Amino acid sequence: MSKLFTSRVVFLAFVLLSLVGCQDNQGDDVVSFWAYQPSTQAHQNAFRSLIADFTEETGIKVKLNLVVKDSFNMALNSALSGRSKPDMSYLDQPLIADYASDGTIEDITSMFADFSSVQEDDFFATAFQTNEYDGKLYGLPLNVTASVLFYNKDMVESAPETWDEWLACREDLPQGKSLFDGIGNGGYAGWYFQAFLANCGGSLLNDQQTAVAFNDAHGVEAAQMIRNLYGSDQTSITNRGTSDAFGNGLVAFKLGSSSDIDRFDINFPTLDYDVALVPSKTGATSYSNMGGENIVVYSHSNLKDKCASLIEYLLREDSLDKLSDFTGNFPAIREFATSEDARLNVIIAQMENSVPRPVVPKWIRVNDDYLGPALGDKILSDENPRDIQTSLDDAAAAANQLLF
Amino acid sequence: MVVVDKRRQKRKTALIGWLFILPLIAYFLVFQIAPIFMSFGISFTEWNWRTTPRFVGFDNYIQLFTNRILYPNFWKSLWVTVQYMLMSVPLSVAVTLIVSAMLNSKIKGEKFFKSAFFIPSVTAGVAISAIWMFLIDPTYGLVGALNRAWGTNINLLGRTTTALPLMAIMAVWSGLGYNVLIMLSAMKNINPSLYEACEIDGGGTIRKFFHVTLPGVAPTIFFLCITSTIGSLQAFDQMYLMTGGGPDGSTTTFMLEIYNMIFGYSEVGTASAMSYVLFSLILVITLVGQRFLPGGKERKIKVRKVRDGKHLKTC
Repeated sequence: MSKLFTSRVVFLAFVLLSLVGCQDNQGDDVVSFWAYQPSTQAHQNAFRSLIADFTEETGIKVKLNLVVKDSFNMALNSALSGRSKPDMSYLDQPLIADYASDGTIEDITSMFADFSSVQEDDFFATAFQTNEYDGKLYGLPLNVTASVLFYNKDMVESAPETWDEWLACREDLPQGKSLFDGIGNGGYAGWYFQAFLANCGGSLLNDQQTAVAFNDAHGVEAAQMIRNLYGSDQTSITNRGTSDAFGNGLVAFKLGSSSDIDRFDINFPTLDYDVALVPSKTGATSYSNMGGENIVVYSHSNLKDKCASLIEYLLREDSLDKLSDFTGNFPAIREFATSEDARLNVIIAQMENSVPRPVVPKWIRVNDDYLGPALGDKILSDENPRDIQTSLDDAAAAANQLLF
Repeated sequence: MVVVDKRRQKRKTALIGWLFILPLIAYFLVFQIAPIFMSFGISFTEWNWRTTPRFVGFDNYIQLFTNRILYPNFWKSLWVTVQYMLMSVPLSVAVTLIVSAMLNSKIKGEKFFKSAFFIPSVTAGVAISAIWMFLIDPTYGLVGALNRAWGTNINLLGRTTTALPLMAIMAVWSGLGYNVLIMLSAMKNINPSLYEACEIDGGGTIRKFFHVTLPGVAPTIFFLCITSTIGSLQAFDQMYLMTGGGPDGSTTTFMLEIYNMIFGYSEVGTASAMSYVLFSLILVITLVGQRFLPGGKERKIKVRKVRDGKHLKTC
């Protein structure tokens, strides 16, 4: 009998412990904050220290959950479908519309209006726009970056400013080298396409935001430019399939951002390169695409006031500087985005004229499933290059059916 | 009174037994069985993780099968997966048979070769992918060296015609050790007197292989066919790591598409419906295979006879 009793007690203890383990262990007054995990332990400690300082200053307790960026969206969605929901988190720019449209994130228009230390004009305009959906504000930008032109100084003396100058650089390339690489496939191709589109006067959506516009004459022109940059000679085709062709000195140009500067400096210390604004079609204003992290508050949170305090704290200069260090991006507040590195200053200059991705739900799928493959797999295919207009029209038909 | 005590004791013993296996049963029900039924239910809903699932009936299935504009990769990825299966499964079984037969013929260094073939099976998929990517890089590695030496432009992962076959070869290579181990065990179990009888009847190496070895390992071939088929239909990691599904979707397998749908686009209902399409496909292939492949139902009796030495006239 005693054995049976012991077994029952052990079993009940096991069940109870399991249930306790499943409980969300945060208290009612602790803000749950999810952010991208910095890659180094030192930065992770610095992040925790930054949050600890906030708690010390305000008395507001924060549970910081650092999640690896690659699996962040996956983990966040799982958490939101369960019980361990965060009160606030980082959110990738193109997800704002998805989360806003279904009411997952809070409209913070009035919350932001009460902020005393920061105004809309303080931010890079396009970074701020990535948080506006349906006339309301659903988040605030923390870090931003923009794509710029990387060029190999051993192959090219100075950076081109127009598309014609860019294409003309091919003539002086040493044998075995090719002009351009780095558009990539799938989502990356769709993302970089926007930079070319903007530089010839086009946009991804029409002015009324009622249909995609990337298959118009500007879209065709932008795609044709990318195809011309890649070229169809065997050297270009081979170099395109090489991992890190630019770092290995095989191609003269690529598009990249601040994280690439760190990567090339560390992994390819002998590479002599520089960065410049992305060439535009006519040499007029240079546009680029923008990336970065926004911060949002969840509708279900009962601690919105405390979240507001934390956001305002994170938008201070010293906080933003630290957060930017963690990601390699720049503070989203224009005044704080400074650098002594000339290359980084080019990116800061480029951010003034960068274009945001459309803030419409399901844009990620349009980018990754329709536009990216149309460009990377069809138009740029070296085996069976498809007609540009037809490829873009097919992608546009699918996008319009999905979005509107 | 004694009978009642015995009954009570028996009940107690049974109860204790149940208590011991309860955690495992709970795990099995919660993490294995429940998700199967839950995902079946989810496949009839529109759900993005964050909101309450909305019942849409068979709409996810209908859209997947009929709307090629919205789901351009559904049929394409299914066809890619079938192609991958048709390349990898027969090749895998054939190579397994040949290697196993060689190792079974008491060659020198059998242990070394066994270990050599088995190493890829215990190596992480990520490491295997990294090694192969270096080997086939058109500028560096082995293929790069060939390109430089011969002036060619071989780019195996960059061609729609070669990317998928390369993946199939990789899969065969990495799974060979495990398959050989199983096949070799089956070959060792064949009654040696059958080989002797075949020899007496004038059978040579090839004849012994086709008339004794092959029928003897037929159930194992069937097992390998089914497991390799299921494995190939679920192919994911190599494509995810090495090509991301490209070029031109030529390596976008069905599992990769499911992954994109659920984790990339948060279309949980659609992804669940796709999972059930795949599940149905695997079920059909398994049932058909059981019926027609060597070692399936029809051949079981024959195989048993061969094993027992009742089929010697075939030699």
